[in-house]
Amino acid sequence: MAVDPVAFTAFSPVLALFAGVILVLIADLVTKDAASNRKFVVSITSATLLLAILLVAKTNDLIPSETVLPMFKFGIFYQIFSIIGLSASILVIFSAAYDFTVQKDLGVWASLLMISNAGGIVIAASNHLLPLYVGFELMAIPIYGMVAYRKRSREATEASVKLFLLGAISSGIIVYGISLVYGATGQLTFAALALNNSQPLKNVGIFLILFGTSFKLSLVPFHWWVSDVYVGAPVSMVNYLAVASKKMAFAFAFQMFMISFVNDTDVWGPVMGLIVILSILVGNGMAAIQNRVMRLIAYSSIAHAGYIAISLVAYAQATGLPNESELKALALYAAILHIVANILMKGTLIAGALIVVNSFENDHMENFRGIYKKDKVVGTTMVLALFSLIGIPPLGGFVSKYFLFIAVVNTNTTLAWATAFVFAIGSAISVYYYVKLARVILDEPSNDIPLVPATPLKALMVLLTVLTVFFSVIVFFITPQDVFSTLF
Amino acid sequence: MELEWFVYLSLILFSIGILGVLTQKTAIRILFSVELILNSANINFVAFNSYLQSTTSGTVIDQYMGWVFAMVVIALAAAEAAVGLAIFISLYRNFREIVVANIYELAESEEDE
Amino acid sequence: MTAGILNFILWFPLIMALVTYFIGKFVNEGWSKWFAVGTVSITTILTLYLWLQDFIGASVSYGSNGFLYETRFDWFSSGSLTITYDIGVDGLSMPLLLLTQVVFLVSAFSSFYIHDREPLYYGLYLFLLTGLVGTFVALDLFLFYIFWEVVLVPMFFIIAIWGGVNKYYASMKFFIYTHLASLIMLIGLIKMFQNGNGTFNMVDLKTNIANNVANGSVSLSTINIIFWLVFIGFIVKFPQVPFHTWLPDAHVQAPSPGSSILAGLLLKMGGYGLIRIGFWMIADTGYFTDELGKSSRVFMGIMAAVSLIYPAFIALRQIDMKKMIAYSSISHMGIVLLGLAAFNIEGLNAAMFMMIAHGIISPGLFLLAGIIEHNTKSHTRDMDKVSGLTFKMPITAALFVFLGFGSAGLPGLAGFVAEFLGFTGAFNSDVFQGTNIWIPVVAVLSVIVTAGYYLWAMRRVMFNKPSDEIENASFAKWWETGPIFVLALVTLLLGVVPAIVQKVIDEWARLAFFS
Repeated sequence: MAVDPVAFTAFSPVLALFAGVILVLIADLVTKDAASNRKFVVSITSATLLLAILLVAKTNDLIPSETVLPMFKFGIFYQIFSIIGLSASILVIFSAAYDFTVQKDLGVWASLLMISNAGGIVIAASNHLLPLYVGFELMAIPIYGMVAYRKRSREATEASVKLFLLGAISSGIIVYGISLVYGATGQLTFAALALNNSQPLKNVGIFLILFGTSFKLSLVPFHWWVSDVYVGAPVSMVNYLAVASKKMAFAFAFQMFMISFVNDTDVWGPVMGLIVILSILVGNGMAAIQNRVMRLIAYSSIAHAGYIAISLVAYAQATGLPNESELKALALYAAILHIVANILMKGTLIAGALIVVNSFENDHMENFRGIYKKDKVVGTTMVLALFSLIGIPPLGGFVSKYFLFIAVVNTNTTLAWATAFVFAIGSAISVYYYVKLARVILDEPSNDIPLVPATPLKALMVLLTVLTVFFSVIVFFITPQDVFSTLF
Repeated sequence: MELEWFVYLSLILFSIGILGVLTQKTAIRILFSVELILNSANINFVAFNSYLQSTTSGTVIDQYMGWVFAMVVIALAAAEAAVGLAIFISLYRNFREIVVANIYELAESEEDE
Repeated sequence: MTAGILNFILWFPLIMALVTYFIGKFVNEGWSKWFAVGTVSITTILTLYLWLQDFIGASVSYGSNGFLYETRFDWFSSGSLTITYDIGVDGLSMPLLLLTQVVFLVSAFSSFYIHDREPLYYGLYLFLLTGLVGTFVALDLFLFYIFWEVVLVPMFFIIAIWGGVNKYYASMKFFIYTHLASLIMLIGLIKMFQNGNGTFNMVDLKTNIANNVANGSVSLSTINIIFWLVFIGFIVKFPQVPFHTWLPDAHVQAPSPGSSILAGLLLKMGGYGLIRIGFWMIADTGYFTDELGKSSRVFMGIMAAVSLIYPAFIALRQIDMKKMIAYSSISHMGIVLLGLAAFNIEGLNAAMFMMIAHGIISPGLFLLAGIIEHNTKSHTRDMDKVSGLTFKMPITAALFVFLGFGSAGLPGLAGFVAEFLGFTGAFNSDVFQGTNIWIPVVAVLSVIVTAGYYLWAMRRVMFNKPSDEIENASFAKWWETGPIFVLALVTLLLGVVPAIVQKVIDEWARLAFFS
């Protein structure tokens, strides 16, 4: 079977990433010391990621039809989620430069980052469970290595073991679920899965996939690895986990549930609703009592994963309503908005935490006292990020939460109402711990240890904050219809 | 042979795998259990494929999709095991053991507060 | 042109907030307060100009959809989801807009005692002004919600940075309470949008909902759910028993200008929201004259009666002056709710007039409490420790007596007009007849308690022998008492000639609810 040249065009972003992998590995070999190694690797990686973004944005028109690559679909969904993952990774590589400072081996880490990103692109482009699963593993496996990258660090190793074991178990459960779905339907393309009627075997498969996915999305009750991993892993790795890879995992969840199992919403919808409610309550409740900032971020990201998954609940509940397609479009739109907003605000917050943790060697909340007095840029951007996470208008977090509210309340079912009220209560609890952290940041400093200099990272934080502030102006250029028209 | 026997076999293997994951304390044994889960899925894929082959239309790939998926799962399981074993070696270097039940420093640091 | 002025009044303070902050930070700290005063003066003059131009005269000539100075364009439009940028004023919002400007101007002068981080204070202060003005002029629910929530942030910081001993606890409680309430309100707003053909524009939504109810596609029980959701959202800011517990903490811990804005304006946001969204937007459906609506109104009446009498008794046993005024605020806002529950022309007049009257009187009282606090030896507001103020600070004492009487409802002052109208409305109302007559009766009885705690407070603080605490006290400075003097004059003016504001309110209420 001859390979169509179109395949190369379609996969040019992935190929660009693999070229970047080779380049950074060479950079590791040829550079003389750690400083120049970092400079080379960061610039090569960010250039590669930018090139990949460009290719994702530009090559879409060149792909003629789906008959050439039947397992893939290159549409707006692919573009949006690929660009989300890739641009979040640019932030990650900039922050990684402050984490791995001792040896001249950042290149290996960066190469894993790019491979993982390639997996994310494959997820977003899939139109079939086979590439979807391969992309998922391609994204996940490098992460285990990335967490354990500091070989001598006991904390990082422990975090990596936990992440690896739970990740492996969850992917095992997912693949078993896929096998049951295959047995029930005999098909694995999304369109075929959507057409088939529900059968007991398929339902069991869907539940197994749902539980496995919940592990990856860190939703309650499959969340207990999150806090340990976030504390143990290097902070830039946390940035990747919370900001980039989890968003790609959401792309996986959306491909699975919104597109493949679109006609089985009555099977997974209620369970998803329960999982979302638990995630919001447990995530916010646990975050409120934490004294270590990374643990606080971990629990708050569980809550935020719950917020994003509200879109799945809204999507499921919209089935059968008169304006079903509009409501579903709105649900996906709201999810994308919250994912983007979450990258902006959580990225800023974790980048700020990285600077503090590298200055103090640990993440106790006491070390964050007076950050604003020590460094106006870091303090201001972090406080704005916190207020955006609460959902204070006109910041980004507010706009996306507003749309999530619209999406879920509009479906007007009991579960939707329960979710909306839990969402409100959870947001109110989150005020407590976000404001507590903001207050600590704005307080008088309790010591005079300076922060490490990190100009490029700070510039990036400022950029993200500006985007957060003007989020409402920017996002309103894309409407739910644009997103939805490509899905069906 | 009946299809059900294969499905029962894979179900038993899956259950043993889940049980192992929940009860075993050594990292290697948990990895074994995960491999069991993956292989039970493979049995499903291959069995279902043989059963469905006569009814499936489409290209060659479509007709052998279960077998293809099983191959891919084997490859991915190998990759996963390779990374996992490397992490376990690193674990052994740092902690001098691979009994994950005994490794809870991160949880302890929470109790310090 | 006049639409441009309204936009200017809304956005100019936000721009000046940044300018004030940076001027104060990098040029001269002392200038920031003059920038703030100048900004608020300009917007006050412009608001007064608008008022004198269009709201004085036989009747206000509203535009085609009932608003003046309207600016409207689509902000986000996609199929069945439209968000507009729409601002304008009518007889409900214009008096509150004017009140906002006056209270901000007065509180700006009274903030001169603050010397800690002045640029930040005045920056937040102007930011707060934009938020409040926006809440009153926004005619789109999305826009309204943005301004509604934005107000929280500067207020939170004003309490948390310049507040008293318990400022952290108070500011956090304020933030969490009101944020949760806002989110519940948001669900109500979305429910409203959902039943109003996919727009967030208030004016369109009002007609759409009314049409949908008329043609039967939306039932009154849905309207009932909407009403209660937004009611909970607004009543926490309002606040009424049992949602009032954040208020005494926030008022007491905030700096005096902050308390005066909290009492004078933030509570009015709740009242305004309730009238605008809870009543105005769904009144056309006939909900309030339906049995469902009537039972809601009885419930509101009970809540109002409890809120009138219970906080009044709590105020009676307070020794902290600010806490007493805070509880009296809750009690007074009960009149607003009672008037709304009555849902007749007197009641609605009373509700809106009470917001203006209370918005003038209570800031004055809070600022006076602030003056007393600054002039006592141990900076106390403890009414058991301070006494004989008339001998040392005669002007302050006189103003306190005057505004205290105004708050207690002495005829001839603003408070009386509102209370009188409110009780008349309640007794005339269709729902407070028969066994429900106890509600207005209890409400009227609360006036006795109100008079009681004010008179007792005056006797303790103003008269008797001067205590040690105030032996060094002297005449308050001009920027302390001057603004309060203005407020006292307005109180007298509104008491003697209530028509200057009441006429606009009355006309609007008739137009909106009884035409």
